[in-house]
Amino acid sequence: MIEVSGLKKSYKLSKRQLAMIADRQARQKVKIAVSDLSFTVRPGTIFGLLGPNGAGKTTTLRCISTLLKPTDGKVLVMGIDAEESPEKVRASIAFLTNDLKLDKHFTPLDTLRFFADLHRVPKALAEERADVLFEYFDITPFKDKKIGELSQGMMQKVAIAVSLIHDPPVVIFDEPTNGLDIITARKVTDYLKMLRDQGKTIIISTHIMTVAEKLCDEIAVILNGSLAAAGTVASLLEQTGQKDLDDAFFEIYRAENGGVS
Amino acid sequence: MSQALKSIIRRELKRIFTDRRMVITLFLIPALSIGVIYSVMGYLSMNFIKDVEAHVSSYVISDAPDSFKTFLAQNAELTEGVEVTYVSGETVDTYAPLIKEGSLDMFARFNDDFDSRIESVESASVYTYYNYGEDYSEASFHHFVNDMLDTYRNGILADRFENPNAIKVFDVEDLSETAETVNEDKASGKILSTIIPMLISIFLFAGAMSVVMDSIAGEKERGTLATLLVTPVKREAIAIGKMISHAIIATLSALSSIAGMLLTLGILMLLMPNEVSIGVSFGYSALDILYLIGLIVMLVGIYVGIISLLSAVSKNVKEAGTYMTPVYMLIMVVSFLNMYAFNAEPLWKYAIPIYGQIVGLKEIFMYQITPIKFFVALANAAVTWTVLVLWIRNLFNNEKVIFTSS
Ligand SMILES: Nc1ncnc2c1ncn2[C@@H]1O[C@H](COP(=O)(O)OP(=O)(O)OP(=O)(O)O)[C@@H](O)[C@H]1O
Ligand SMILES: [Mg+2]
Repeated sequence: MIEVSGLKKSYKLSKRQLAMIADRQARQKVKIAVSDLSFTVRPGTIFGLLGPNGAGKTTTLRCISTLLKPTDGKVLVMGIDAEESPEKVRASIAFLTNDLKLDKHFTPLDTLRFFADLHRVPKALAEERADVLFEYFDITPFKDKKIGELSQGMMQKVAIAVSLIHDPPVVIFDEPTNGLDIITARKVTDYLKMLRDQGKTIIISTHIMTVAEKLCDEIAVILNGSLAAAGTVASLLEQTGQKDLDDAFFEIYRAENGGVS
Repeated sequence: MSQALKSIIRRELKRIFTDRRMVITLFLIPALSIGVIYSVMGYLSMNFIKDVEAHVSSYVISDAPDSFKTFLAQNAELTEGVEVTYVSGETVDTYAPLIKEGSLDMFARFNDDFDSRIESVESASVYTYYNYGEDYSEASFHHFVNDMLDTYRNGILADRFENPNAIKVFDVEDLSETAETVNEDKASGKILSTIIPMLISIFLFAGAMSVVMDSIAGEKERGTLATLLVTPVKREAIAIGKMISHAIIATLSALSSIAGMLLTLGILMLLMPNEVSIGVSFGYSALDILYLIGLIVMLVGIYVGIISLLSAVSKNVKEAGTYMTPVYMLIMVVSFLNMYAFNAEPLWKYAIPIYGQIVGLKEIFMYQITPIKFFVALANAAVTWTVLVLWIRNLFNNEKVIFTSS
């Protein structure tokens, strides 16, 4: 269970960041990335944050996974306050985002064992899980190669396996299928569905409509850091009177930007 | 020790020891470059010594009286390695260019009628010319004046006064050796205390610098630190785990530098001509060795902490490198500060981080360290470590430090 209420996150811009904004009038000291965002993700569902580049998806997921402190609002993960007990929250989540990297010097097996240790997974159980994850994501033949020697897609799969080694109840994946071919992407989405069926709480972010449509049980459309629409795919189609999610998304986008398309 | 701490330390150590580039920069290059520097220095000074020994000095002496000539002829040991040419009625003009270019070491001219002036107790002079910009020339001058002329003058004086004691007035004889007033250990310690603490300090910092910068600023740059920070491991465990492993590596790196140095020195000693040797004797106790290890651990811990801190606020290894340069200079200055102070140091100096430990290292070699001094140094190190660890922990909690985008 993830409960986000009234989440707000603003970044104080550094001088260097400010200087990079070309339009002098538009220069403001703080950048509001997310404002007044509320939603709940129930166990056994896959929740999708859908939004264009810069909408605030990554920021939201980082706040849930305790890497960022919300400027305002509250985040509860499995009933635990993310700001009060960040360590407990981190123990119960799998977090994947493409700017968290694995050390290229080690092998996938070394890496998995190391993170299992950090999550206090008993040795035998860790080996068992590593085998299952490696087998599922076709990493087994590469498990003793250095991560630096693997392809981009293989690295991504290793990162997914590492994030799941402690079998946490909550899964937070930021753009999980980005950069993967359709076969591998399908493997990942199938795995997420399997985790959902095991009753885990899953939240992902994406800007790809088909991913949202096929994978997510519930969707929150985020535009400019705030919630523009939410519900199941069917209810979003109904709200907008469109036949597919692509058109529905544009309809929501148009409404949000003052009716101009 | 917690499981996580152990895993982090094991992984950090494995990371370094299985990385050929790191092994080379941390252990091989320092030892080798120090070996090369010392070998070159030793080779040059050995050549210099041989050169000086092999050199035959040439003196030209004008108007030397017969008494001087017979005196020199009778005292053959004074003319060893010296070629004396006697001339008469010449001035320095002919010889000045030769002295200047180095083919002649010294020119001297005696007063006219030197012997008869001495006989009649009139004033008499010896005029000397040499080139004090030239080592051989200067050595020749001192030999001529202090050895030759002095002995010659004493001979004349002895002739004037029947009783030789009348001119000697009294003797000075150094009997220290027989009375055992010299603390040989301390005398040898003095040699060590000037250079070893400085070398230890600088080698430790250099070793710590390469490993910590790569592990903290490098991990930030590569995005692997953030991966570590989404685990439930406490930030202080991550900070301490990294610091312990880096301290181990930095100490080993410093040891390899020192080993390289000692090995080269040992080889050079064997190659040196017999006369050149350094009489060193030590009387360090087991406690002194414990103090030494203790102070090294304190120092390396503080260095690793400081470098970790600076690495944590840097975006990448390059930026960390720019912060490191002034700190390295400062450490060098602090390490050099006490090189030539040999008196027992006051206790308050031990309360200063880094400086206190370096003073302690020096005083171990001087047999001046006391348990109280050691514990003051330990207390200051403990406080410094705690501050550094807490500071680094806070940095690891700071989102600006975790994500340094653009
Ligand atoms: N560290 C930061 N400092 C300042 N501004 C930031 C920082 N990180 C993100 N932003 C800004 O916050 C806004 C939201 O960014 P975020 O990364 O959450 O978007 P996103 O929805 O994940 O986009 P994308 O689809 O491109 O990944 C953007 O305008 C971004 O420029
Ligand atoms: Mg993003």
